[in-house]
Amino acid sequence: MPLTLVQNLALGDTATSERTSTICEPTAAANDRQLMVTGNWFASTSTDGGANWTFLDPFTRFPGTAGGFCCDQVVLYNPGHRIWIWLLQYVQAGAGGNIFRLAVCREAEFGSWYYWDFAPTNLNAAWRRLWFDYPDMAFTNENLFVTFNAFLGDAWQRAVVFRFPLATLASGASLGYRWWSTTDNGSIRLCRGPGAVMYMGSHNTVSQIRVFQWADSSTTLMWANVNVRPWITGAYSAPGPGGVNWLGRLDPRITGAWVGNRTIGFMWSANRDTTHPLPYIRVVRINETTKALIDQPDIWSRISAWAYPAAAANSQGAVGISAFYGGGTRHPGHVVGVKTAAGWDTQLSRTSSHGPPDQSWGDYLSGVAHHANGTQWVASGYTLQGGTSRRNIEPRYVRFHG
Amino acid sequence: MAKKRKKKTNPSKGARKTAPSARTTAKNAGKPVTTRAGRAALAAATGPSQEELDLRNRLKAGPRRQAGPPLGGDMPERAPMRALREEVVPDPTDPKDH
Repeated sequence: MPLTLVQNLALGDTATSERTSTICEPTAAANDRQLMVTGNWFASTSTDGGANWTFLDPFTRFPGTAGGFCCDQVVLYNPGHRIWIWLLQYVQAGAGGNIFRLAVCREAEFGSWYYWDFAPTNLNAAWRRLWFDYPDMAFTNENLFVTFNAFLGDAWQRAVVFRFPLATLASGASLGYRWWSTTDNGSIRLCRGPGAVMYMGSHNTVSQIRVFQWADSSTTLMWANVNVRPWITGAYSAPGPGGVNWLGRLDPRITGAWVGNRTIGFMWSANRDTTHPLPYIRVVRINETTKALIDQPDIWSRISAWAYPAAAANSQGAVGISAFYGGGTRHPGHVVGVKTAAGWDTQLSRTSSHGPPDQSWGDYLSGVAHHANGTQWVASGYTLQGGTSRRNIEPRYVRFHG
Repeated sequence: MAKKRKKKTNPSKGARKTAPSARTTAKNAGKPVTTRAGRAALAAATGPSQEELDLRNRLKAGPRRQAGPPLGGDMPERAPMRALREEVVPDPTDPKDH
């Protein structure tokens, strides 16, 4: 079946209150008629399938804490418990620590949020100067998982993984949870897809990935190292019209991860090399059981760069992606796509009319399975329309199937 | 006839390799804060102005801080470059226009 964009919606100024950023970091989720999109520095909801959107202010929706709402957000809808989950990152305060807020509301009371706050000191009293950054969030059958990096000033210290029981999040009872931390790997990315085991990935080197797994039934986390074809990092560049390099902020951390059909997949942005004339998306697929490398169906082009991939498996285990494509004759565009037997079937949702003047874009996108129609995905994206100001950023909500 | 020498066996050989693992820690965050009652009184008073967001946008632009330990082989060395030259590269992908 050819790739089809079922819905391809732009969020206008009313939906975002012009609180947009060229580093938009949008995420999106859907529950049939209820939709939610977050990004820097807005949230927006719809209760009529995307016909109308209401701005939701992440700065003022909740009581102030730490140094106030900062930036990174992630939204998910969990169909098993019929709850919305909204993660918000706050600014450092006092000794330098911050918190993240995990807000939950029930489908039947969309907008009536209750929440828990988590500070580094909740995990270790000595971590009072650490602060959380770069969240990821995904769920298994029974648990919600959250990952963060923890920094001291600008220096990376460790990565942290949280596991929260979905049933308790839904009931609003006293929340027992589990956590784990490592100083060996950073920016741990969670695999999105159905199942009772959460898989996570992080680079060990430029030719090896560490695949973590944490089963719903276990209090122990395990890992395996998987060798992959070497790739190159460094300063990324893909000048578009006017010489604007939209990849000035790009780095190689894993941004897309999925599990489905007994396959674990990871995606990240790699730099140009002898066989790829522009930055491109490295893709590795790994056998879920044996952790053997299956193949490496990279996404690359001779004429434009690919970057910032997000990924998710749908209910049938197929992978859908959301990513950016630009450089050469094109300003950055938002693309969705699916893996086919022959390769990747991809389509632009929209191309920017301008490039970002400060040469910065990103830092992440999102993709999730659409729960009401298991063959479809929901993706977030954004482009610049009509100018170069951050207020010209137009976030997008895209529903698609392959 | 020479006596057949018994082959020495390594007890660990052939045994199933155990994957490295780590214990996780339990905590409790208590009950959630509900925002239904007294929402207006509890909410943060105001958000930043558009001018303050312009400044935030400028501050956010620029290289990202390193978010993990340095990656081994972080430079384009000869061996990885050779491997890259020898790889089987899939066909290029360009998206259809909307």
